[in-house]
Amino acid sequence: MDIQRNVTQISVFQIALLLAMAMNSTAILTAPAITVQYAQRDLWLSPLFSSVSGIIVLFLAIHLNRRFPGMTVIQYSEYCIGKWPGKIISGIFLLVVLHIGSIIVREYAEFVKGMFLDETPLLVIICGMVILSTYATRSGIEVIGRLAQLFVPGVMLTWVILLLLTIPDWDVMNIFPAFDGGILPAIRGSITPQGWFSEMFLLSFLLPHLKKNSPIKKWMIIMVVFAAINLSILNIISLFVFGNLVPTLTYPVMSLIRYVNIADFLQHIDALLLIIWVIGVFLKIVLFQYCIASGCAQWLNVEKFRPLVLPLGFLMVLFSLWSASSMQDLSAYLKDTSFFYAMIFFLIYPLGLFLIAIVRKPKIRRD
Amino acid sequence: MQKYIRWFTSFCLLGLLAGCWDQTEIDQLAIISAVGIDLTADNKIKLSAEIAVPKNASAGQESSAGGQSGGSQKMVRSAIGEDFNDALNHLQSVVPRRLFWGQVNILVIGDKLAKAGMLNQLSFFSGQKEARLTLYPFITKGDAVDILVKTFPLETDLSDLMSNQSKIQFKRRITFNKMLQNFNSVSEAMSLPWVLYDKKNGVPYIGGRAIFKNGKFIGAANMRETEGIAWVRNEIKHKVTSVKVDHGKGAGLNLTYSKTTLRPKIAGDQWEMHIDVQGEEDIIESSLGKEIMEPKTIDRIQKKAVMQIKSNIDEVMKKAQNQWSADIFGFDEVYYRKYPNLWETHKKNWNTIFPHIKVFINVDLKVYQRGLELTAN
Repeated sequence: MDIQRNVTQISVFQIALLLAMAMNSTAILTAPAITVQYAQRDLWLSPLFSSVSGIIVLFLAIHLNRRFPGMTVIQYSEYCIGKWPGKIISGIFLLVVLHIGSIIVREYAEFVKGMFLDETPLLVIICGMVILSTYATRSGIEVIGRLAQLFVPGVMLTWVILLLLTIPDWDVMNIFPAFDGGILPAIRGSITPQGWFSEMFLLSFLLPHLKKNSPIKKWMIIMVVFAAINLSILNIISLFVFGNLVPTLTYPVMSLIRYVNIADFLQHIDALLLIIWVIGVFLKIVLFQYCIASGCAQWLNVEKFRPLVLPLGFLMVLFSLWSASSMQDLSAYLKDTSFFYAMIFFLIYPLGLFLIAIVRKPKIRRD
Repeated sequence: MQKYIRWFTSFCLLGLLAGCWDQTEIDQLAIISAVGIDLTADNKIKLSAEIAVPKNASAGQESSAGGQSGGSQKMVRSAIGEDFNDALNHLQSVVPRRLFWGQVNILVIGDKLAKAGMLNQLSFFSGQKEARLTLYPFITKGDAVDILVKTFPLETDLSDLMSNQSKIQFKRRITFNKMLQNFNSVSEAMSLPWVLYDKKNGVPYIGGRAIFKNGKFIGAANMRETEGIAWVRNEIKHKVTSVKVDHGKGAGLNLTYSKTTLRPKIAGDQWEMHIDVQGEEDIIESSLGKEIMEPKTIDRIQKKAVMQIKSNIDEVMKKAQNQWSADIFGFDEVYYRKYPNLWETHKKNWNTIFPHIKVFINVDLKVYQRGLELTAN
């Protein structure tokens, strides 16, 4: 198979923004509530441990891309493990990405329905998002990169301001005693977020479009550290404000922003959180949809991915409805299953490919 | 052809611009500003809501020009049910508009319900999506609805009145969040603002703290005891006190700075708590004449003020340990932070340990004379 010639390009900065947003947008909703179950008062330390798997998968994606320039995981798997096994595993891989993407859509819909639009049918919320993301995905990777560049700075600024507004309600002593049960609880609390960080392996689909000679490693490390610190700060603020109540909250970040009350004047600002969160999750869904569609095109040896976006978007709607029967089902998945699911396909599978590539040194026919 | 299709689609989309199909305008909402919950004589829940009545803007202008007075700007509706949710359903049926909970500021709970245990009736306020954890909880003597129905001269509604009062009295706001955190602690003990009604002036006021133990109301602390609690919890709000030095003569002191540090200690079986109070006071008035100029007098005033604070803390501490045996000071958290391992083994006995904690009070107070006129009288 020949290497696909790519004319579309995005910058390393755009990739970093896109991945940081993809990492943080869904994580901020549930991260404190999930990590606190194991980590107790040390929940702020967990994201820093979780970022380890993020760094590993980024390393794998970058090095596999060096070995197979211009190819994605769907393409080079055939070189590593043979044509047909590669096709089969890539098919499963795409299904997994589709499934995880759909679960993100469902998470978005559950949050919006639970918090704001309680009478709107789930399907309407899901379709609204998928139609939009389909439109954005069809426009190609350049547009997606620019969307990230356009939205993310504003989102980050708003996010920082929102967090700063909670300062008057901080009870800093809540953090003590730190490391009550040793370091182990914090590590156990980091396990579920490990799965979320490993989703960054989707970088593999973006690398072929990266401009030549970009300092990708530097930016990826900055991005992972930033994402981990951001989660850590959110966790610590939740602890400051809600203390022993954090485990009982469904969306700690929502409760946090609702708790803001500056001089009985600046309050009820939760709509701001919804705005930035919807933007973040939109970018994440677009990223997933792009990876599914372009991956599918490469898998089927189709020249253009564009015609595939809409049908796959339709599948995404269906998968998101099928993936969980209720909110409880969904959070059980996020808490327990998602880790193994994401780890197998985003960390262990690429690691296998990486080892095979080192040992067998497969030859690539260049055109 | 394509052009016409585009035009047609655009026109179809115009219909969506009208807004949401299930919109609720503000004049279809009953905006609740304060909620009262009581236990009736036959063990049912009585839910009362203070609903803001928006004043017509033009009517307001007329009245300021000397027209009729504004009249009532709120209304109160009550409903009785088996539990909170049942009462809620009944309440909605007596109010013609949809009840809106997003602006609820104040939660007043009658002492009967507080005695019986109120927590399981309050999950609505932590779980419902409109309600906020910023709510201020209050406990009142008698029925909450009696306070809700009153009208007041200065503030438009109870919500304004009580939040202003608590701002004056407390250093940090005591919110629903703080309340739940305290009930979630080992001791399940805490103190909430205790509201009384001043019949003469027709206003409710915060007249102390309601003491809770094991999640239940067990008694009220008066203003003096409340001050002691505030000293220990580092919640004292800067205020004026008077100190008598001799023969009815004395000075008025204004507290300008205060900080309380709790130092726990476990020596063998003896649990100790050292309460270190630091403070600075300014003399704002005196009846001591020229004496006030002498450093000796300042010393005496200082000693007297220290003694007052000490006895204040001591009194409430004795009462908390012996009479209430409720850890309203949050000592459990303090011990847990200092001795996490020991705490794990002792926390189930906390309620028997607490009354036997040996308390040491150490007050470090500085008194300054900074007035413009040095020799009053």
